[in-house]
Amino acid sequence: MSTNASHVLSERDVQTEISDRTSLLMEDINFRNCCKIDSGFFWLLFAQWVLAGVLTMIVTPTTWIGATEHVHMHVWFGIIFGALVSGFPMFMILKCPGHLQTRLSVGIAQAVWTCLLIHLTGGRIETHFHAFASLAFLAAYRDWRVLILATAVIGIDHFVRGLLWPMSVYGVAVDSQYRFLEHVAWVLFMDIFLFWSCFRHQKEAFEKYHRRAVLEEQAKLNEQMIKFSREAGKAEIATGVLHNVGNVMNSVNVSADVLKDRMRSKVQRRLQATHSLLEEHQQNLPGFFSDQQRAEYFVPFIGQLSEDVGDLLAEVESLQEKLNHVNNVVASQQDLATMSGVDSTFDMAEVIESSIVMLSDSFLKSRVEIDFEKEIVPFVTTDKHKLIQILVNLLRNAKHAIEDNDGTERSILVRLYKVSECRIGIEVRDTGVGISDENLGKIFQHGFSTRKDRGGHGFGLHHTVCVLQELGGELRADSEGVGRGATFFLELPVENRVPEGSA
Amino acid sequence: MNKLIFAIWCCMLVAGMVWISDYSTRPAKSDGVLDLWPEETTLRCGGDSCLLLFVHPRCPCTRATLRQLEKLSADTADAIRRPRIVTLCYCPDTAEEGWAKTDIWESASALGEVILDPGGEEAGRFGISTSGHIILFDHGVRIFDGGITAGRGHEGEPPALTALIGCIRGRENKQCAFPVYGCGLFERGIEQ
Repeated sequence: MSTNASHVLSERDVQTEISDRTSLLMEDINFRNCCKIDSGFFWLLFAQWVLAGVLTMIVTPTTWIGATEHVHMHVWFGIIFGALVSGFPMFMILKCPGHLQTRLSVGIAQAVWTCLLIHLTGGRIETHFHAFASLAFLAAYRDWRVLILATAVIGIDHFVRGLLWPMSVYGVAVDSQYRFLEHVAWVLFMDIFLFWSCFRHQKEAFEKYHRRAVLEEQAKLNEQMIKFSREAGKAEIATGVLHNVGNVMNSVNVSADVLKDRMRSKVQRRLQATHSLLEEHQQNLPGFFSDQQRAEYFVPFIGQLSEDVGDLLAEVESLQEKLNHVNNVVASQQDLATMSGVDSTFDMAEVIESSIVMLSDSFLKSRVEIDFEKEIVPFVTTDKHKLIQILVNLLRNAKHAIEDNDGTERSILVRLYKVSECRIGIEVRDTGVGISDENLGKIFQHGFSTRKDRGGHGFGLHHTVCVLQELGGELRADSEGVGRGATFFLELPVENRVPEGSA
Repeated sequence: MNKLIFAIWCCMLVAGMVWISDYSTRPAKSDGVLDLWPEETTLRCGGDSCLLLFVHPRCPCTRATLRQLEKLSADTADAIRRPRIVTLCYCPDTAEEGWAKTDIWESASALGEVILDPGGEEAGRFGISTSGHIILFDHGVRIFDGGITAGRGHEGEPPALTALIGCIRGRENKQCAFPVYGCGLFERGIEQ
């Protein structure tokens, strides 16, 4: 987990990532918007250039000196200077669309067109509207720098020409050299609304893309968490397998010990004795068996040997059953890993008895008495092997709790009862070490164990709860305090239906 | 590199604007205008006050002068000494008939008498060399001289127009000579 933890982002990292992503999204949308506006201005600048050329050719196509006709200077000016004004920003739009320099050149060109038109129309007041229209178009860039630059160009033009040749700007000869301020003030008045509009739009865009960045970051973190959870899940599954197999293997070991002891102490010894006897009387076996006294001894001896072999066979069968359970544990953990299990319908009392039997040797070894009380409950349809794991875990925990307690009473009571028509309950009550109030709330947490010093890992109960939730059941614990035993209440639906929202 | 081109482009725009402003406000040479009604002219003043307008019938800049004169005519309709307006319309010696009958001729006709001036002879007698030049004579003495547009082809309310109205109404004017903006009537050394 420490490796994973190093990959987990801190809150500051997340904020920085969101901030960076928002900036990136804003840059991207602004760039795309500017490209779109650039292409619009490309055609507007081209149209203004064509219009200037056409108008000069219509209004002042030629000039005269006496009888000689010349192309009017306005025509050349309209074509050549028009190409200069529009050409550069058009070139920039084609070469670097969306760039700051491109839109600044567009802003300047549009302002120069305004100045030129005002000049050529002798300062007609109607032509001044071109300035307002141009600024409104330029505001579509949502960049205050473009508006400022265009306003500055128009302001400087008004100021200079207002001083030198006011007729070309205002249409009348004015006395005041400050009249340009009035014009600039009106432009700035409009700029205020355009700036406000730009900033508002940028703010809204920021909020929108900030939200998007947050959602993206959330999705990314979720993906990371799912990945980590999967990794943790794999570890948990492995832990679960080891834990459950370990439980059974304890019983297998006990059975194997019992088997070995019986083989050695009874069967092998008797067979050796029989072999020695028969070897001793090998030369006269008919005489040996004709002795009535010996026959009376030998027949029960063989009968006893047969009984011993029968016991051993039962033990082997028990061992086989436990090993089968190991297979089932592994298979059910594989089911858990793939999030699928096989449900079957069975008698819960039988499953509880099987689980008790599975641990009976270890109960015997630990001198723990176990009682089972049962009511008549409906058959249950669920994953049987997962349920056995749960019960074995609970019983094993109860046994450990008793082992850890110094009390004289060493017993476990298992009770099966009906909660409702569709739910059954299983109570596992022990006389073990008990659980403190403080630990009651943490008992099901992953990694929490009161027996860490005695080999506990805190995986068993957590795993039990997880598996039980999959089966639609629930588990709770109760204890009257330390040293006064504990009771686990398990509830399970008769039909395995996982409630919505459950893990 | 882009910044350098950008800077050069800005400089060229400034130069272009300066050039067009200079071109529009550069007046034609108008020295040599007579102070008194010339004896050699065939024109007769025919009254106390006479306003002479010299035009090239195909000069696009002169349209602005005629529009200014229309305003003046309306503004001075109630003047006591309202001048007789005579337009001398230039035409080359070799011009075909109807060469001078343009929209400018028509506009001038609405203002007063229009006289064809072949080869600009009458203009030469008065010392005039630019289309749009106006001279106002009062009892044979020139009291106003120059153009009444603010620039080449520009309308508006330039001081020249105000001064001319003042002259017609008999007011004292500080300035009675103004620059003229228009096409040249002669090819000899006249700036376009």
